[in-house]
Amino acid sequence: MKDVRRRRLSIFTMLSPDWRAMFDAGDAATGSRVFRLALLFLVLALSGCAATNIQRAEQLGALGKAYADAVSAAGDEAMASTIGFSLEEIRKERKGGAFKTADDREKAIVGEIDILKKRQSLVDESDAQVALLGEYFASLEQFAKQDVGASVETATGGLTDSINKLGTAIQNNPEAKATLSDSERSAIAKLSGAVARQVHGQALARILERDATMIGTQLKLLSKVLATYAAWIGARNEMEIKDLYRDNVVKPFVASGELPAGWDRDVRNYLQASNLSEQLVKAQAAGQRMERFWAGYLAGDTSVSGMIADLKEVQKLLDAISAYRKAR
Amino acid sequence: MGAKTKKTTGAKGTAKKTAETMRAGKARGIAAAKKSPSPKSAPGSAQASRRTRGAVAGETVSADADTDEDLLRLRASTQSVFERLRDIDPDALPSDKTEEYWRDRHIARAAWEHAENAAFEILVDQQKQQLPVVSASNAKLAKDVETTATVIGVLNIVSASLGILASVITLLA
Repeated sequence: MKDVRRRRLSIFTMLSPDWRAMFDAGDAATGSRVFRLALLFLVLALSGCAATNIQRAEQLGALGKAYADAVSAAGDEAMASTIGFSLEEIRKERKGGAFKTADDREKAIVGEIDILKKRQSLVDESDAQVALLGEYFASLEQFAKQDVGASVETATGGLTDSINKLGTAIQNNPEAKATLSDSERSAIAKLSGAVARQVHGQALARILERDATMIGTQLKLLSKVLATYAAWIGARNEMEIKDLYRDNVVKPFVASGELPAGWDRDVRNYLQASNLSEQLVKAQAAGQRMERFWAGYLAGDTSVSGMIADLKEVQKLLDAISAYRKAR
Repeated sequence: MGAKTKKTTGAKGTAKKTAETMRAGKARGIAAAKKSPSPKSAPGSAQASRRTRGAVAGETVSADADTDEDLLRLRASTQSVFERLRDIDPDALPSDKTEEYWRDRHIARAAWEHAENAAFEILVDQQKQQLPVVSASNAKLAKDVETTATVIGVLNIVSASLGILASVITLLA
């Protein structure tokens, strides 16, 4: 019986000679204990390595998706900022007499709409690429989150159960004992789960290694896209701040007489806008930090918390800019 | 009047060249504005008017622009021209210069927006070039997920088959 069991369980060959001798010399109960102990060690050893790879892939997936979402949100805000600014400008130009005739005015508005349409289509195209990358990272996160170990553990448990039933059926004896004891079945199932987790972790590590160049290139491009959006928003914000300062803060104060009723509010708006403008530089730098993060990640640095905090800051800043734009 | 015509032509030239850049992906003969004095250092309508002329007419810098860096430079220079025009307080201009100022400001802004679009278009093109690579990675990842599911599925099928086989043998015995 012991021989049969030994042949069937290839894991036995992985035990050290001393343990095998102990298994041979001892009774079945001792052998079974040794066997389960060996499995436990193997399970623990495999779990450690697998957990790191799985966690790294899961975190990277979540981070990449959050980054893609942040860039996309920046695109929306940049577009809204551009449209608002251009419309305000063309309104001023019209009022200032830039377009003398009806024909001039028509040309001007058609030209403006063309520019904005073109920009919107470019942002949409870019968004589609960013979404595809976001999809990749979301799939990576989902794959990492998938509990492959538990599924294999259950499947293997069922498999050993079926092997036992088959063995019993072949012996054609109602009193025949199962080939594998309950505890052995459970130990094998656990080991197979751990092996599956290890294989899963290695598969994720291979995926990241395989796609490292693609991810690196995409992060570089996303960084450029984010910097472009930040530049669009920043340049317009700066120009508006200058106008606000000159026309609504300084001019009324320098002029003699009573200050306008909304002067205090304008000064506050100016201060708030200046602060947002300074923070926009951070958003521009977030892309570059993401590139550095990837280089560090490839070198084995698993810390993603700094980058997650960075992205949250970018998101908060975009919300603040959007709120400010809507309030004006 | 001559100066005015020259000025307007210069600004329009910038806008036209920017449009060409967008179409061809190249800019030939980028018009960059000459540095104008700071509006803070020389207030006054006459000086403001001169600044308008200086900012828009500017000197023409010839450059071969067949890379995205050239487009970025074009974007920066057109932005700079527009910003300098914006720095001028239109209320401080003499009334006969106001329309001209707003016309120039419109042309400069349009040129800047075209240049921004052109620079971004290059970036979007680069993204598009990477599209097959990203799609391939997505497909490979989907296959990896599918393979894992298949392996677990096969394990379950084998288990079920052995169970059925055991039942059949028992029945036959």
